[in-house]
Amino acid sequence: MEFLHFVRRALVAQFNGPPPRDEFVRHALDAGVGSLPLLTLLTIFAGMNLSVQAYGTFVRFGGQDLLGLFCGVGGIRELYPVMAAVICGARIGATLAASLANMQISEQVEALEVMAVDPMRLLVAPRLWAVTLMLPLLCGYADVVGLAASYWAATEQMGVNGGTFMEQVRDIVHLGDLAAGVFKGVVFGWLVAIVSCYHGYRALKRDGAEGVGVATNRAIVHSAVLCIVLNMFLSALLYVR
Amino acid sequence: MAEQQPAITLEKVCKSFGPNRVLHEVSLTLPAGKIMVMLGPSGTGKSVLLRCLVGLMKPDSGRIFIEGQDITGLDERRSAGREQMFALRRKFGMLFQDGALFDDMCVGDNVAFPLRQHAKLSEREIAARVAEDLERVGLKNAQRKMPAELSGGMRKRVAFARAIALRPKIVLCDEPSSGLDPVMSATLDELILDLHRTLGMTFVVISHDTAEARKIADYVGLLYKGELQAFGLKDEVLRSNQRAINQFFERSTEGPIQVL
Amino acid sequence: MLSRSFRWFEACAAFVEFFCAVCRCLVTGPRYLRETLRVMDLLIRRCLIPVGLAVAPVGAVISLQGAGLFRMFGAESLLSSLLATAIFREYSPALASVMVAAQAGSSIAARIGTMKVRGQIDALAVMSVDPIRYVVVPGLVACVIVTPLLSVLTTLLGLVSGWFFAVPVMGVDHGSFLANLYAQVSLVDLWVGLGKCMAFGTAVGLIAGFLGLRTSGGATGVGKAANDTVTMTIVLILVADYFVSMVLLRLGV
Repeated sequence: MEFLHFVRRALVAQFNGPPPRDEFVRHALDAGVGSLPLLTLLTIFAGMNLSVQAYGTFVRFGGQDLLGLFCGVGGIRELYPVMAAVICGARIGATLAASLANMQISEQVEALEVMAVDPMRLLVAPRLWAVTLMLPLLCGYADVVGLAASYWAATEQMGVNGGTFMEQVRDIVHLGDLAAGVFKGVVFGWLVAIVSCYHGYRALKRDGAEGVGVATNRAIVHSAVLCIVLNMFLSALLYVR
Repeated sequence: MAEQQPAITLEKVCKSFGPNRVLHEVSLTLPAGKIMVMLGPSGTGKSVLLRCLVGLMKPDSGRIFIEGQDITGLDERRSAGREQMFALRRKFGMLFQDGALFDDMCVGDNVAFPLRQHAKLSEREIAARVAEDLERVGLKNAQRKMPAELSGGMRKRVAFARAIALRPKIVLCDEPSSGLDPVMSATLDELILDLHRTLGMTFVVISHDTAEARKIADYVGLLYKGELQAFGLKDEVLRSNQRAINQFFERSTEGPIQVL
Repeated sequence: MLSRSFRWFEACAAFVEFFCAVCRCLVTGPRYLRETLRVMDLLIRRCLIPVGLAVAPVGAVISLQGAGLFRMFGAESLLSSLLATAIFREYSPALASVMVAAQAGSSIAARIGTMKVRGQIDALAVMSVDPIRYVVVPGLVACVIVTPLLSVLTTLLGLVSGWFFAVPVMGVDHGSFLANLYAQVSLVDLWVGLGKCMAFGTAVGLIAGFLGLRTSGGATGVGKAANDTVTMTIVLILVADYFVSMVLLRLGV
């Protein structure tokens, strides 16, 4: 209930004119460029993992030649958007929650209110925009890196024919799947940002340092769980005829 | 100027958190241009009172007038009410307990922040005002420092400069002397007096430091268990011989105020 | 650059020292069993719902996408084999560990970090209670035990949600789903999964304790410790998972 009220206020602030530019640029850079090293590392391993595990599973019923299909479907439709979102929650969301919670417990948010500045406009709106716009880009980036890693692992380590692999990927992954991935990215990005901002914003002065820890923890866990659950519903919506 | 509105009027303000009665029927009138020191043991609702004045909290009942305008009826959930509340808050400057400086801005930007948000001034005028205010608080050379590099006293002085940057009519100070050494808190007292003389602002100071009250106050109030035990001109209150006042000013454990 | 690599080196040395101290505490007494049980109880109650919620959808998604894929080759009956292997061997351990890292790791790091910035860690040391023995080791032991337990639960949940999306939603035959479920899963898969969980649980407990004790810089530091714990353990889990899978594949298990 409290959360819905927060969402309403945040939406009003978000769509009430463009966000403060400097704040937006700072958070967009931090969310986008700042996540690249971690995301790259993780998608490379997740992509290779996908190949190795799928191979290990398929080889048992002699389907190792279908690796391309599996990596295309599993990776691009499901794994990479969710992974980008979960990592986004663990890194960007946690940072957002921690910084807002810190501002709350040191009364900086109240100071803004007293100075007749709407903290929603100044603090929350640019963060929401930044993450919502950056996460789809990160998803797209993860698609490319992850697929390349799967390809490398499949051809170099499993000895799957590279041409067949790519042909299968091209067969099974349509433009619609990529668009769905980007759409998921937008939804997850907004969700991660709003959940993290909410938990950060809810910290109270009397909680002290503990409040920052609690906000960070909740931001990470709730945004990860929400994204994974929502992904199931989105997939059911998009792919069950 | 003869019929000037009182800066702050409270009428039977009550506030509770659950079963906890924090303010009970607090009524007072503070004329414009005066310094009021609100005394009281810790945890008796002084900060809540301050937050009610700027609309950060809403009293459960009773009314609060700022320069004659009733602020208790403003509904912050509606945009019109919020606009009015924000317009009203521009009359206020507030010094928070630990300064509440923005960690990611340097000292100069912190002081310039309210000016950039609300005053229609050019960057050059803003820079001039920032320099002027920082000099006033004796921190002319700290403009490029970050809040994390400052000592507690310096943070408070920067917060002071930020609170007065817009030349508000009313300045609220939440425990300006807590956590400071005696010399630094005396410096802050001098600063309040100096600002009061030169800019004629109304001050509401929350404190438990009786020496501070003796030094700067025009009006003194004593809040205990959510009730206003005494309020009035400093000399009258001190002469009135009320037991709570005497106990507080004599630092005695004997009397109506029981903390154990 | 030099100072940065020096700091990196210093952190590694500190971690080795920390690790040795933890091992010493593990083999010698006194042990704080009651505290350990309390942390375990707390972790189970805190992690149960997030971990369950995170893993159940994975089974569903595998069924959802897998059913479409297998249907193209008319091999729908194989779906449950794929589901069972994927869940037993990979997703249940990895996801349970990632969620334990997110929930338990970050809250342990935040709790120790809060104690640190409030001076409670120093207070423990002054009262001659070894902080590592008292706050780090119980958390570590709890993580090592709780992660495999949660993984058992997530396996079940994953299979149930997988069944739900395969049979009623996608229309796979119930009989053949059940018949093929355990066709490709061996006891080895089960042990590999549980072993991974214990290893990842150890990593979560160690990293959370280490970063929590290194917290500095007030409230911001606490948030940073919690955050770094999660990102570091997730990286570690994914990288380790890959190498374990590689080795197992080469061994042909």
